[in-house]
Amino acid sequence: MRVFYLELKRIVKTRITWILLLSSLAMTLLMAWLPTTFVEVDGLKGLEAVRRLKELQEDTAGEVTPEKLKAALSAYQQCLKEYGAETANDLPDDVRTRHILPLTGVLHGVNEVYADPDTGIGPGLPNIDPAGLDDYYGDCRARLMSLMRMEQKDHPAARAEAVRLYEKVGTPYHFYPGFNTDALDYQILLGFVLTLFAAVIAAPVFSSDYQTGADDIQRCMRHGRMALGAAKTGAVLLICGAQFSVCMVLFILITDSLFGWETVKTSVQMLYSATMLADMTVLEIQWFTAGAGLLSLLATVSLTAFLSARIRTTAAALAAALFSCVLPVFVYFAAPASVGLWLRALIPSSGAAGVQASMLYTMLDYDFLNAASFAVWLPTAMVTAAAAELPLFAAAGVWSYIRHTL
Amino acid sequence: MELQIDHISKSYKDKRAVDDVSMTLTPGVWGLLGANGAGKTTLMRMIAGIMEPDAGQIRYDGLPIGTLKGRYREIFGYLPQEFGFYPEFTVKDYLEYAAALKGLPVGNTKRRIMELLEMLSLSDVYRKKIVRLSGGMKRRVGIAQALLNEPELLIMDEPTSGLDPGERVRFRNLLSEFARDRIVLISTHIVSDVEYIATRNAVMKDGRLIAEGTTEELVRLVDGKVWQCVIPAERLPEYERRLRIVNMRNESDGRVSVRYLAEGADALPAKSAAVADAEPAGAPPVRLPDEGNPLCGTSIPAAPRLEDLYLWLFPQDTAQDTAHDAAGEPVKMRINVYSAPGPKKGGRNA
Repeated sequence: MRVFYLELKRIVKTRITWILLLSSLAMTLLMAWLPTTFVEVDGLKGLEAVRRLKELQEDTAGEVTPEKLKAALSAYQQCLKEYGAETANDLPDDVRTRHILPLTGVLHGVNEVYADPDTGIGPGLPNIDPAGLDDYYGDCRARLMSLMRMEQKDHPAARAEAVRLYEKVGTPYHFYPGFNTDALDYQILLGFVLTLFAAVIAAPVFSSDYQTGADDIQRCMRHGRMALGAAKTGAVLLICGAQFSVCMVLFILITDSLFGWETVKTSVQMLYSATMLADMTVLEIQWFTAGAGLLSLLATVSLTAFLSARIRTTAAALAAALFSCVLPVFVYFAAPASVGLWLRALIPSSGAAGVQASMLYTMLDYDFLNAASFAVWLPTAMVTAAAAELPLFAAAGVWSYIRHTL
Repeated sequence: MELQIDHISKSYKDKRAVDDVSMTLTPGVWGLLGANGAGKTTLMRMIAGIMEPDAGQIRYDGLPIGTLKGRYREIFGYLPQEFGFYPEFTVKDYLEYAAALKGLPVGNTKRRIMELLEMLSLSDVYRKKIVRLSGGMKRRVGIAQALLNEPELLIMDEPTSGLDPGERVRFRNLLSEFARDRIVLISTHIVSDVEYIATRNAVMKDGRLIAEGTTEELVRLVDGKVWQCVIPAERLPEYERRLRIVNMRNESDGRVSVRYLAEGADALPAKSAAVADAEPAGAPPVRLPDEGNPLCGTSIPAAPRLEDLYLWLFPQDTAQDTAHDAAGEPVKMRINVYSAPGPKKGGRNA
């Protein structure tokens, strides 16, 4: 424990560590505030716009029942009819703000649910019969199944798994106006930056000792092998984990305080796809993304420590660590789909890296790992793999350090 | 208490760094001598357990160090040639860190650190970052960490490099005192360091142990091979080509006093004992009337020192390394101790 404490103190006292820790904090504050500046409503910007949006949409807040949807869609279509407009874009700005904007939040997803089952193209709100919304949530299930027939044509197990997951999603959905999905994008972007910072902190943990020769002395000491290896790995995991946790908690607290604590009770299906497989509110997905990101970050730090124990120079260890962090992004864009999905599941940093390749966007998707009659939703596979890799790479790193010879 | 090095070998890709070395280290200060690349550091790293030998075994009190593991490291102290440390550490931070790794009880740590700081004159820089210290001070911090756990077996690779003469003397005294009932092995290029304090010495060359013994025993190997003479300054270049000069000193009368190595028969003719006896002790030898002969000059045997042995075994790569015979052909010298190969070049033929 004494060795662990001293190692912890040593790493924290390293200049690069505290510079990165302070930068993380500054980045968190900045990135939590920035999404509020993107909101523009009725000529207002920032927090005033958020407040105005809440006022405009307050009548639709609460449970999203079929009756509420039917009433909203009727009102929407009535407005277009009154002004002789084909779409909302044809309406004057003030009319759109007063009559259409109050309805858009609750009607989110309606166009998607009634999309053509073969082409996936939505009919447009003016062309949907409000009377057809009586079984809105049954139609959501039907939409999911048609979607899965397109997405997982050859994998019935994946289709069945998607239905099973969706069965767990609570209905009716809930909608509370005011939240902006940019805040979630910024959260995953922050997670990515923090993962890069963690890799920079962790990369020298063993390799710098090899490079400076400090290792020669330390491994001749009584606790200089197993205990020191474990202390180094544990310390870097604790520091990076604490850094990520503090920043994420701070980010969520600031974001939700700015947008309002009621808005985050909104079901994620009311912000993203209406058939999204996660049974979560915005607040829950914020915490889940943070938790999965933390697990991914710890697995990445574990991998970095392992690489550091295997590589003799700090620069090479750092390059390898940073490469492992951005690898999911390359895989997402460049690898063939079937291989890419397996790689994304296995690469430790997948849960925290990039934006499109991140855990949040993976949860918005319908990707499954298929093996014979077995199918696992990709986010589940990513979290499971990271949980397994964290102790595996940590142990491999310590073992490599103990066995290291020059 | 003994450390047995039993037929140890270690090869790198293209070089046999340590070749079948066997020796038994007993309490006292051991000097490990050898030129760069002789295999000293590799041998020390294997003794430290940070490098695995390809063949052979190292045993401490009869037990292989690989099986002793933590128990061996508990009684072990090591200062490598390159003292690596964390740049963010102060002397205090570093020694506390090292003490924890060595398993010193918390209660004893501060007392022991203070003792060593006092002993190594580091008290004033206790809170300074190591990176800001002078080379000698850094070296002393390295020595302090090696001594922290009062090891039974202390291995130091070039411990005196970077120390000024005063520091070296203090270090030698410290080590002599410390070595009672402990095994201390130090390698150095500064031969005088081990000459003063080593109870025994081991000499390595090309990975092999070529000699082992007390300083007196080893010095006897160059008995009759160390000479002194005085030559005209203008003829120094010529003598430098012909002789393995280990030291030269300008005299006041335009002559140069030269100390050189040569087989007895190859030395410049010695003056008569009568003349030598007539000289005051310590005075440079006088020239005899036969100075006109370029090969003669005047030479008297000098008392050999460990440095002479070192230079005899490891000729420096300078013009005088390769002596030439009268026909201008290089002459090779050999010394056979432990059947080891002698110097590759050097010597002269008068």
